[in-house]
Amino acid sequence: MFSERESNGWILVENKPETVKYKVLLLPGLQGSDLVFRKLLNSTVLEKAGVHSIAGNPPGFKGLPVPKAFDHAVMCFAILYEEMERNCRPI
Amino acid sequence: MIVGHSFSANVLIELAARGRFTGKMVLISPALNRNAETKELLMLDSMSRKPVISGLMWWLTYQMMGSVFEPYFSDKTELAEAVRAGRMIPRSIGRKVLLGYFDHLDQFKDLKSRLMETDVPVWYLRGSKDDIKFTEDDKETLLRSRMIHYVEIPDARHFAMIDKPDEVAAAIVKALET
Repeated sequence: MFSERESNGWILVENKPETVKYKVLLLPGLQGSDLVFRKLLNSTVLEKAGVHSIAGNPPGFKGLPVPKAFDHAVMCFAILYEEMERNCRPI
Repeated sequence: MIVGHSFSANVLIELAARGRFTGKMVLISPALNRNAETKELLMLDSMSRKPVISGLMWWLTYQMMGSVFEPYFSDKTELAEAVRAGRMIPRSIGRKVLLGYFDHLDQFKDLKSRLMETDVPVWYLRGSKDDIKFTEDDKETLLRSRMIHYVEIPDARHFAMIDKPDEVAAAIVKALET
């Protein structure tokens, strides 16, 4: 079952199995969105392995605003991804 | 684990180079240098740097977005949703992200050496029919690092996770369990 939520300026679309063993954050290419991962989120291979898969739409993607003073450099996205990955880690 | 496709896989190479990430990563078809990119994206980068025609090029790019995604989405509703999501990115933002991406490729020239410095386990995954260029030399060089693994998905194109979702999922699970 897919669910969608907002977190720190991101939109996250996720598929969480009943028993979670791993968490995976999926990030799209240029002009992409969570939709390019829909088939992967639907894959029973991930579900059976206990993978909680999270397709992220970062700021700047899917119409989401970017933080103030964001300069769209790869390094700036790397920092955003690093912060989101920390939030997505299993507790 | 963090998985990035294309541009985001390139971002993950930078994330690995920052040295703060401690998990595993799967890179789905990043471009390791400017020449690895498609001729269409190289042209868009070039035109985006010409103020007079940049706006027209991006307008055209957004008009043609459906034809870019169309080969990957057999379901017309899903195709329409993917195109709509792509067009939700303001053209000015799309242009800035693209220019930032190529500036990054130009800054490092060849990301193989940057990737090989990584201390985290990396899986470089690509489809056998991917149009992002990747040479045997690229593969041999990357595999000299004990942290880097290579996975090729047979008959998959650039969006390997759409063409072969279960095969990509199996590669992710194998990486998680390694």
